[in-house]
Amino acid sequence: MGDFTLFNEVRNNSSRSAKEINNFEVLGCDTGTRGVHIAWMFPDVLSMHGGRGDAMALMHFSNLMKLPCTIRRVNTLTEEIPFDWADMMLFPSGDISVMEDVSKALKTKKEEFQKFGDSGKVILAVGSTGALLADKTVFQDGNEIEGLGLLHMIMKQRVKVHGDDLWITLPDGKELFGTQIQLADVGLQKGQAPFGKVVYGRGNHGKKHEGARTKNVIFTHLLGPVLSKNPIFTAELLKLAAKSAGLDTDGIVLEEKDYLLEKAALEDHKTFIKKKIDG
Amino acid sequence: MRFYLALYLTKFISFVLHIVAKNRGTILPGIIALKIDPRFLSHIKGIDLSKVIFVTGTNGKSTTTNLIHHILTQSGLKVSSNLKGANMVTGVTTALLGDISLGGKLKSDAIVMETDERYIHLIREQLPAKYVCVTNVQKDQAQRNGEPSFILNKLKKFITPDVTLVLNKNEPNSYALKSMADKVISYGVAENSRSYNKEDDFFSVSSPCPCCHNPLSFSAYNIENIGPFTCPTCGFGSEAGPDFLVEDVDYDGKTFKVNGQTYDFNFNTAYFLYCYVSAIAVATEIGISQEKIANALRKFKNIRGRLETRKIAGKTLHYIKMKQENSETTQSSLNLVARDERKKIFMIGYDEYLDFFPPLVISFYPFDYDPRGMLRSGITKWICMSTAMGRAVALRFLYDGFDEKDMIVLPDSQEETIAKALEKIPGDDPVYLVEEIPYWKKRGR
Repeated sequence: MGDFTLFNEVRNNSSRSAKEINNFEVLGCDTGTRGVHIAWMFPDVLSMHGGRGDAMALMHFSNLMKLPCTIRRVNTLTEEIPFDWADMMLFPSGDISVMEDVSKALKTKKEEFQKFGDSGKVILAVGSTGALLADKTVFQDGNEIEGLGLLHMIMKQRVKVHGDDLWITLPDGKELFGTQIQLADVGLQKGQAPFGKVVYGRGNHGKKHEGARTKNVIFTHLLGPVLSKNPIFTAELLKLAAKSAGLDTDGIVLEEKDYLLEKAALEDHKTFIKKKIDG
Repeated sequence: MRFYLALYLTKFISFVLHIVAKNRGTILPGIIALKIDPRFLSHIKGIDLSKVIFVTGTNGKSTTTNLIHHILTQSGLKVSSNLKGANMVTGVTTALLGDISLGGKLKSDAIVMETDERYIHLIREQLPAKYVCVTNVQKDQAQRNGEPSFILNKLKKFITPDVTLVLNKNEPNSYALKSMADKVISYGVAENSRSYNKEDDFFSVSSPCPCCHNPLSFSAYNIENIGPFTCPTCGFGSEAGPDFLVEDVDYDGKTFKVNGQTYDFNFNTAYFLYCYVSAIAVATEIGISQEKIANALRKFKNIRGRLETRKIAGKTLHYIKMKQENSETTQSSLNLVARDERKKIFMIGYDEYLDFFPPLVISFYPFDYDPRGMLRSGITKWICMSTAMGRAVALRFLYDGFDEKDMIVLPDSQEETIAKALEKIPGDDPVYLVEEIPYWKKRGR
């Protein structure tokens, strides 16, 4: 099982008022080390469904992979967004009601976000926060908000909440598990690739696909939190972010012995879902 | 005509049910009444709407309803209420049936009803209660309610010019409703000896302002996500007040003050202070004197406690019932455990949601609360129990620094499984078990 000691050492030496946290000391790196840079976007605003667990997972798995990592909080909607600094932006799940104000804050930087995504850097948006990356989101009251358009999808607010397990496969065969709490249906526009294929669950619109992906700009409904629950996927994202920064990722590996408990937890969830499928 | 047919038929059915199944709660009479007359509630005569109070919100509805009911009855009023908690329109109708005369007139002086936050607008459309007390709007039952704004949007539907809202000034989501009503009475609880701040932790998160959606600032928390707050960006929450403020809380002496008057309370957690002060606010507004309220509260008994103690495998087990889909009540449970500084065993049961279709596993709830306060309180063993998410919950506790060598994961939370596990742990350290209420009942404990 993965050692959480390093994570807790990093965490215990941090404070709420800190802008950044890194694992240099626990990994024995110099302070000037260029590791992977992760921007944790609006953590107090996008704070639904245990989303901070995604940020925690990024640090934990970076430790296990011996990947120097710095996570920076971008706290308020008026704060400067660190496009040049970040290799990855994490937009955790938030209440759909905040998306209009967050979208307004991001809209002025649409070009910068486009360049960020085009350059191969990683953007991950989870749950209702997909609205920020979408072309637009249409609400029940007729209101519409424009997203960044990084993923060509239209979200439509649902009358009823859909809650269920979600099991998907990625094009490379990876299986991901989580929970879906869906407040908006997602319609992918022509040419937009999904993130994964649904094995069990509703996905985007009750059909076969889930989420959306263009290069390393990813939207998924998976909650869990998705990154603490699915270590192989998290490791992949960290490596992609590191690669985009020009870091050598050859020796950066998440070994199976370090996620045995997560693997067992996933098996438990898979067994539970299979029982539902088999009736 | 349909009203009277519904009334007489359901009175007869209620009579029969009372004979054949006296202690079994049922909303069948209400269902039948509404089937015959869908506008049944609106046809009841003789209701003084100025003495009709609805209590709604995520947490605290039942206790608050019971408190208001108690104060009013102790003050000499005859009160209709749904104290057993059936809080949708059928439950409210059933609760009223016994208090309607054959002439269709309400025999009681006041109505106090707990109302489901998703359907209160339907109930109030027929029975326009003058007072609506909103306790709080929090993350709860995500698979059904999604996000707090989903519930807020439902709540907004009941607000009409004639309503007086009784709002919790320490809870941002529900307090945001104040901009929609002409008359608002506010309540809150001042910082006290059990108030806390979130851990000084990089990964600690607050919540967004419901007005401008920038981060809120809490000067302290009395319960998770509830406490004196302001929005540094738009000023929401910074106005004077509340109208009814709990101060001078003495948890040992079990007293507190509101507007200079001392009251007794039968509990020992901040959670119940909010229930008490909202009941005091409502009772004061409808004209009950402070003295009568204080006398009534002195006699209020804790009818639905969430803490039970029993013996298991030779150890003393303290069972704290929580709502596992609600991180605020779970955090309150964990804070209670953390206050006991003795060495102890901690057990937490989480399970799939069988009462919901389709049943599902939700492993993200544990990341919405913070168990680290318990780490410093002498936990010697920690045990996660679940058929489907024991390991997932254990991972959460590992993220918070719980020691893997003290960890036990059990495949279910059956009594036998728990007893076997506890038998293997030497010593007689007390055990704290935090688990969802329905599962405790279902598993025959």
